[in-house]
Amino acid sequence: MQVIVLGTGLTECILSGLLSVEGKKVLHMDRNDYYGGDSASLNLTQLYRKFRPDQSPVAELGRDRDYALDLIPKFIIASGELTRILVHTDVTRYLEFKQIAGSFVYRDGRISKVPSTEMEAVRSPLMGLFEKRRAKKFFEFLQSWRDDDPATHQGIDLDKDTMKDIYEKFGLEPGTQDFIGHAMALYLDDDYKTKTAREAYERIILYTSSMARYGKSPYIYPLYGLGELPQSFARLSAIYGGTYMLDKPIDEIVTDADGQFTGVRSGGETVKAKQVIGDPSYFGAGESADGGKVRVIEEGKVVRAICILKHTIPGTDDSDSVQIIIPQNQVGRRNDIYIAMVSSTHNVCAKDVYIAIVSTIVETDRPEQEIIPGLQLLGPIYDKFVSVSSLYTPTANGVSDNIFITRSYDATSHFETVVEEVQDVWKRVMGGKELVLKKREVEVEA
Amino acid sequence: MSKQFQFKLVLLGESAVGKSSLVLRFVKDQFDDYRESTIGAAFLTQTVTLEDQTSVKFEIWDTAGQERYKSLAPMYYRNANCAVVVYDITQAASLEKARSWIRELQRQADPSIVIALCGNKLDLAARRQVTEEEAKKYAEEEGLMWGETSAKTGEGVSEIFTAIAKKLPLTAPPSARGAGRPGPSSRTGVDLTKQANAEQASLLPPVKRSRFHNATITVLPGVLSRHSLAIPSVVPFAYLPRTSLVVYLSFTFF
Repeated sequence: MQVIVLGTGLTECILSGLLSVEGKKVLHMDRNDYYGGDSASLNLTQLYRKFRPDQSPVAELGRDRDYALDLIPKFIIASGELTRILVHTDVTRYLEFKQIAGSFVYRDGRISKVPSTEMEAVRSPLMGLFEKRRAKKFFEFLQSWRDDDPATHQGIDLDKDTMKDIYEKFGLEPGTQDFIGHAMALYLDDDYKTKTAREAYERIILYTSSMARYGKSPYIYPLYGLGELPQSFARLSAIYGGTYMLDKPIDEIVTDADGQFTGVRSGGETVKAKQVIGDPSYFGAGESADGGKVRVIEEGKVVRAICILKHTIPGTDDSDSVQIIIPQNQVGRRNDIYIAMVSSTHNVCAKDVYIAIVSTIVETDRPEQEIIPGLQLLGPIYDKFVSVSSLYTPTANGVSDNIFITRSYDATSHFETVVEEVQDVWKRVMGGKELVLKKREVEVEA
Repeated sequence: MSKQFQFKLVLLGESAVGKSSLVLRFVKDQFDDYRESTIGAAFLTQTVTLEDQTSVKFEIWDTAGQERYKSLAPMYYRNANCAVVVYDITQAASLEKARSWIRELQRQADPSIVIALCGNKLDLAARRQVTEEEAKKYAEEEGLMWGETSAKTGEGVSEIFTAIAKKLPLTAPPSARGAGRPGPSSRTGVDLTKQANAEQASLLPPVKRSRFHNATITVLPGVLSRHSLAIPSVVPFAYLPRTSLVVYLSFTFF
């Protein structure tokens, strides 16, 4: 065995899929009896087992099998890197996608749609008439920017000037800055304003090009929930010879005297391999060090509330799926609050049920209080499941001991950081080789 | 015009009962004595044309070995219209295993799924451990189709798939009829290979397009085309169409 992968979260499954296609012999194990790890979608029984082990699901919610509830709220941004990987690996043949119907932003006590059409832009209450003209000039500038044509730069250097400088140059109001930085560039806090503008520029282009791809919103979503994504990459891996074992408790990461990885022990058997890749939960996350090696550290917490609703979210034109962003400035916080809602349109719950996840990065010792501004936008909540999760990051890059630990799923609204993580781990596992997507061989069609 | 249907067919059964061989015989009319465990080709299609010229296209999913350690994903059963559960007539235990797969299907799959129980390795009938009567009786009790095959000689193979093809259009739910699902061309959702949509394009007034000609909707080569091979893994943004900025520019329409 060349590589052992522990945990079937999306990061791990993309990696084992790509490694198998590359010709590596992969053994992929998970302690759970379902795929997905932290990025799984659970049915009601599994959800209750996780959050309320002493209760069983309410019969009124309908059939268990109709539910696929995401643990981590994220959407796929249409023009992003995950889309490219999905298409290139051809796992799209196992999946179907639907658009997210709308993206909304909270401003001065109410929510407004992020315009996706000209009419919506004209009618949008997000900016006054004069501000719209200023914003036009700003977008025109981004639109026409060409790195190799100084005439398009208007005296601005994207690699030297900060976003704050650029906002000031175009005279944009704080509310417009919130809209651009949080609803379009999808920054979770305001730290980006004092950094050079290149990244923000790229994020805005990513957002608008994604919006343009299918209209309505920049996001798409897989039918039957996000848990389909790791499953599809696991299948890719299996087709290329990857071996899968679910329901397999992992008892020990075995190393030699120098701390080098040698194998993984499960019960009485030890499987040897050259390298191991895994999510933080297999490497001591949440446990006391006990004198052993500390391989992961906590770098923050995210609070998430999975809310079951019996109605669409007020003020969203009865949309069957939405993202709502509450920029931090609007509610006196450091980090934005996100709401992601999907419904039976996406085959994730029974008819007339809507699933909204409210989340934010924890700033106080009362996390549940912090998401109240989000919960208040939902209307009556039929039931909710709140969790506070630690975000773990590895203490070492694995190059010296062949132990490659992935990072926890962050609070961003899409999967772009997951793909960055995949590319980063790939490069380290492959001894510095960049990830270049290879086309799958075409199977014989009779 | 003749009717066309497309259905998803999944294979189930213990390792080494001949699932992949059965499909290889059905799809390519080949047999390989020393076939390794399934690698590489887990997505085949074959079309059966019935006497009334109805054509039934099977999109066949092989387990890719994921059945070995209880690791078959729910995705595998999802929207399956039919399942062929295979046992080896020379191994009594493989029928027991087939029974447990059938219970799993009855629990997980769509209730309208057509299940065929298939006793393979008929060429080894001299070493038979499972009688026709026993398997047939069980199939009748559970309302399954049943047949015996030899992937090696080809005996019974086309018969069992044809029988399924005949039964399916009558029993499949309305969503699977007509053009049928699945298959990328007939899907109702978003096609990832598609660029900006026409509706979006028409929202942009012509005058705008000429004024900001850089911003018109252009189908940029290679962004998401399935068939383009050599796209670098980095530099995402340079490839992206910049269309929707036009929408924001249209604030001037006020």
